[in-house]
Amino acid sequence: MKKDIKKVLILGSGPVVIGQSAEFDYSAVQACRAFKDEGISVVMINSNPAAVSLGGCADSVYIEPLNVDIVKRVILEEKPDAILPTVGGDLGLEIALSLHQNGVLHDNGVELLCVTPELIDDVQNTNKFRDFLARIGEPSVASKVVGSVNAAVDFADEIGLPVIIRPAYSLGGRVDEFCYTAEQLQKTAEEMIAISPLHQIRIEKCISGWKELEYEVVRDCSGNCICVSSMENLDPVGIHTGDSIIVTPAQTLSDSEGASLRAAALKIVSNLGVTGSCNVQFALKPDGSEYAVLEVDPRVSRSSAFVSKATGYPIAEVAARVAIGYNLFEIKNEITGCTTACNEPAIDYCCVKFPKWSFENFDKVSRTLGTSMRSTGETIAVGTSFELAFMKAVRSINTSMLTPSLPKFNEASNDEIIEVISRADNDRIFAVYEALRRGVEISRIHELTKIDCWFLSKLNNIAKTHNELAESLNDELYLLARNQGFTDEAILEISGILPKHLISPNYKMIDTCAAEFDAVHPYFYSAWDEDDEATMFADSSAAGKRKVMVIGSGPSKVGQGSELEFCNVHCLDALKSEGCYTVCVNNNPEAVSTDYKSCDRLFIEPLSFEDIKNVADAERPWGVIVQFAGENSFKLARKLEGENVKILGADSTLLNRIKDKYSLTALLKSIDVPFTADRHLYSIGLEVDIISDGEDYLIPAISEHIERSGDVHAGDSISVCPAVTINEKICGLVEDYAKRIAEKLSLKGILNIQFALYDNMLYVVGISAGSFHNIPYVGRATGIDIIDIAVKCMLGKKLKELGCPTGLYSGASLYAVRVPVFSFDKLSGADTRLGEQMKSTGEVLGIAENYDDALLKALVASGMRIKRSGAVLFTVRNSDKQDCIEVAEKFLQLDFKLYATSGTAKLLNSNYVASSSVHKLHEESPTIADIINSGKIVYVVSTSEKLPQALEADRIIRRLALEKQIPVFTHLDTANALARCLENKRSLEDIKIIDIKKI
Amino acid sequence: MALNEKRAYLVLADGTVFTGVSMGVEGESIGEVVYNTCADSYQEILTDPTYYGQLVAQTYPLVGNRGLNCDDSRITANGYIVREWCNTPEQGGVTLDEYLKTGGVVGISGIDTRRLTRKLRDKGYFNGAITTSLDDFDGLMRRIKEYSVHGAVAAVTTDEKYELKPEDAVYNMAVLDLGFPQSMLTPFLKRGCALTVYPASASCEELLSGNPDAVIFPDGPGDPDDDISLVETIKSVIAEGKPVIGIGVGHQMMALAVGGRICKMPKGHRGSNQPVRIAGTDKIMVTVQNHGYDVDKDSISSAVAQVTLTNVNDNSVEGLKYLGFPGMSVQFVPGDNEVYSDSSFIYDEFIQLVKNSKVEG
Repeated sequence: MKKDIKKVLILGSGPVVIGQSAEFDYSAVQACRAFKDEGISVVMINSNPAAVSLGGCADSVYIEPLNVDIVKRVILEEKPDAILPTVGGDLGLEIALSLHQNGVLHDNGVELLCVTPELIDDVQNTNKFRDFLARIGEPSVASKVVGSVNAAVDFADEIGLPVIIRPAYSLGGRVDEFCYTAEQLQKTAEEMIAISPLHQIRIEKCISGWKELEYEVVRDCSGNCICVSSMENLDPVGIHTGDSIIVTPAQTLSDSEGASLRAAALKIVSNLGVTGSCNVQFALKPDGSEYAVLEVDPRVSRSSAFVSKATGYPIAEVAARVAIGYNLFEIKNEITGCTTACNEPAIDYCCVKFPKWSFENFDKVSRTLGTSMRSTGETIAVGTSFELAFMKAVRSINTSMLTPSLPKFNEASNDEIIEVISRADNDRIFAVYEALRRGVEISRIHELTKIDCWFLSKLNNIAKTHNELAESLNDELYLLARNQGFTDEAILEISGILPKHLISPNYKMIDTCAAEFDAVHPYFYSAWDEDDEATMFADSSAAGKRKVMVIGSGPSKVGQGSELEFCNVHCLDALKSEGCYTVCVNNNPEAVSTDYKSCDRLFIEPLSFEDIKNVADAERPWGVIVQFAGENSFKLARKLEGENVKILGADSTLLNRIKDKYSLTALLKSIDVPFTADRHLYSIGLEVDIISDGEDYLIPAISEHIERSGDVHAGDSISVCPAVTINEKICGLVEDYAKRIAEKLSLKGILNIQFALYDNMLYVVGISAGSFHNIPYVGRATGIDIIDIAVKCMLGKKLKELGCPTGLYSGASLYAVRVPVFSFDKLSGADTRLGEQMKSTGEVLGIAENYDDALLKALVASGMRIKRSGAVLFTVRNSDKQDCIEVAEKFLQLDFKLYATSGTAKLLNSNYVASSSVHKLHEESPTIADIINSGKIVYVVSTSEKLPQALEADRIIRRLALEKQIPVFTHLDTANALARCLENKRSLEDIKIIDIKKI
Repeated sequence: MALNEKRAYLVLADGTVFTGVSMGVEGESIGEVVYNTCADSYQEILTDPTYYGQLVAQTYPLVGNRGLNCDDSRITANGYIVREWCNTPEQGGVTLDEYLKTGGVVGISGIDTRRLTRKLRDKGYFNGAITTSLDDFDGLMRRIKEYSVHGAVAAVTTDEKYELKPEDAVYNMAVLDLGFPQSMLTPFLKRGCALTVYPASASCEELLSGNPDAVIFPDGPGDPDDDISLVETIKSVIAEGKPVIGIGVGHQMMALAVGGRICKMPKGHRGSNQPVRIAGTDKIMVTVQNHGYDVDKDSISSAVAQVTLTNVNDNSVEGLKYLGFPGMSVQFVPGDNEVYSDSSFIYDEFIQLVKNSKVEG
């Protein structure tokens, strides 16, 4: 029975950080769509401007910091009937729980959807969770909090070695320790009890090496419960699921093991009383004799997004509908059109999820995998065999990787390979592959890794084929290799030749039902069978339309994240609104663009040229858009044009003219625009995105970077629009230069142009057709749907026809500040210093009537712990020393106490800025580390000389501060911006919350 | 196809030929081609007598990953069709290929099972053959077309009656062996039922000779109207007024016994995800099914029986409660998992029926 709900507030999940990526945004889009479909009005709140769910169908949108106070204010303002907390990650659940505890939900008559406060508490509180499992007779991993070494030894005796010792109340930093012997246990327990604030540790039975499995369950309010799919981690317990290669469905379980885990999952979810979706994670002893429940998440998750894409079952949408009172059998399956949400999907292929790490962006980062997640994104690959899916997955995480063979392992000795295999870093699977190619026994690798032999023998099949290809090539081997997922390019590289008759793949459907029913809206993956279901499924709605293919951006990584996904989704929407028939190719399971409803025809494929060419050959699009595909796009544009495919937007001619310093110099010289490749220290960074239809142009805003100089990546800079420090003359010059560039390039679409203002001289420092980090936030601030307009220009529409403003837009009445968000706490060892390599994983936005308020909102939203008293520590490089005086003085006037390293302190004091001197790391006490450990310091300002030794010492300081959760500024301007915020003496309560739909 | 592999063909009654690789024993086997959407119940399917006379295709492409247990190799299916079988099973099991060889069953691998499923789905029933030779194609086509499953029950039923007794038996029931998988009796044994299993040829008198508290008509292979004498036996038992339960084909035969009709379904219910709704409530259960006939809803008047369960997808009859006598029936084998089961209540209901009837009697 449908509940009487007229308005729902959906809590977003905030900025993208490691462990919490776009999957929640995808789920929020589904939930929003489901509610709108039911005639319910939707209020969204999220701090992440790149969230796709903030656009489109929501009725009211708040881009505000996600905390209890703000959500309460939104509730008072909007008076929703219900709140959906399950698409907001753990934060969403925590906020919901607080709103219940402080009576806000009750006082305002707001219903909590999907979960109950008791349920949230049961699963989020370790002890309560164990009690819950014990109550319903489900096993958890044996564990106990102890306060003495003796108690630790006693408990270890009871459960048997090895055990894991965890700090009972961790402040981060200290990781779990494995104890294999009694001596190790004694020593580690002693050490960790000593450093634990409460002198307690948790001893846990070590189940490393057990199989790790997950079940996605959906339950409605009548108690009907189904299991959408099972997942099995290739990497056994010990490596975080987010860093594990995962297959769905589970592959190595017996019928009875599978049945008992499924039954246990259903039982747990029923007993919790979830109305919606829930993920249950198990560890299973490899001999099947024992299992334990690891974790239960009564919300959507990375796994639910993956399973939704793997099966075609839209978990978040179904969860939203059951939350408002529908039974599973009342919810139509839109892929088949004839079944319902109570049909457990039947799949007739194998899906592989492969994590994507971004370690290359970070200095000194540890690449070892363990119980804390490190990956920034993931990919999904589908195949009729594990081999095919796995090979696709490898190409999907890295389009330049043709096979799982890593060049760096080719030269390595067997011992070195074995060493990597034992260590479990992000390249382990490739070391396993190398070992298999060298004939290392499967049993040996199994012993070292505990990876199930089934997976190893499948990898061995690929390795064998690889070796055979290197020997010779015949038609039979060619066919086998193609079936196992080797591309023609790979085969040519390995064997040096290709057969005369090349074969191309056909496409099969993902249809939720293994072909048992006819499909009305399926999506596709490539395979090597005779039937081509993509051709057979001719969509009558395509008739007479221009077919446009959009290439997605693949797995999220640092520098290529949600802003590209944002562009892709908006691009597809724009194409549809122009009457085009849309085809999308992508492989990021967290993305909205891989939702089959985002386009007319979806292909889950790797994004290498060969894979895309195959889809293009099958689909014969009128045009292809590669501009939002990330770093791959230039290569793709060039190669696709070589195949006579029409590229819309930035094509290779345009891209060639802006690709490097030399081409840029030539281009800009011809139109009298000053250019410099050297970004001057202390120059002001400005940025615009310009849309042109070939005649008119539109510049939505000029953004300004808070951090001067070019040594911070534009994506890592705090950015404000409209620009705050430049005058009208400079604005005019920016517009003029941008216009000249667009004209010269005959732009029909969109470009990003970066400027540096140095000594009142304006220079162009870069032009990019693939840099979109400003698009979401500028769009939110100005209300201009930038990508929509740009894509329509790519199709040949004129700005005037579209009713768009032209020139530099001046209608925006609000200030918007974009603050990058980092995941340094998840990247152990990584230096937090910002530089030319982008390091941020996500972003937040503050919108307000003035710059200071917007900045404060954004800083709070970014998670910065804003303190209004305490001490500030300065350790700055020589070139910053002079500027440091002014910043330090501001903090001093705000009644902060100042500490500084000796040189800086001396300078500050001689300029009447009182500061205490501290010693460097390796000098006598009190050192920087001592003062940080003392708890007095609330901010650290640390800018480094670019010398290895200085960098290393400063890195240690910065990591220490990070562990203590003290904000660290690696650029003076960032600290200055904070000081300005504090000077303003306003707090969030003083600042209006804004529904951007009402701008 | 590697050198040591032998080519095999799956030929359908419409002349379609799928070329694959021989698996299990070589030769020819004809049967009804059916698909199953379960992902990991391969051994359970192969040994399920209800697949008698059928060539079973798995829609899930990777079969036998965990290996099979040779202790139980009474394969009743006529043949087995997979995309890929695992040649490196774990945990001491044998490969699917070895298992089929032990059981003397013809199989084929390496074909596009999805294409096959689509054909079966679109065209309804198909006879077909797995063969390693196409030499006498016309003859083969004739044999395929002539084939129909006959005497399925007789082929799989027990030769002699036998007894199964749990400790502390409370009830005493007779079972007419129509060819059910052994596991089907476990829920009854667990509920304190001592069972006497009779061959399908048993008469009503024999079935009732031990004065049972109830009679079970379980699932089995073949067409429900293949052997009309079975329906006659059921009719006689019903007339005696003993509590009865029909499961699967037993459910269909009970419907025939009270004058109902049985229809061939457009595509049958084949897999582990058939959603069934309890009539008049919002409760559903996820059931495992394998049948191609069902009870025609219109042929059972509401005075005779009440429809208790329906299929969510096609609204077909999944369960009946008889009004004129203490009887109930279900189209599927209800699950009875100890940890979580949404359909075990069906057994409890039946036990309650027996209990009530005992009290009344």
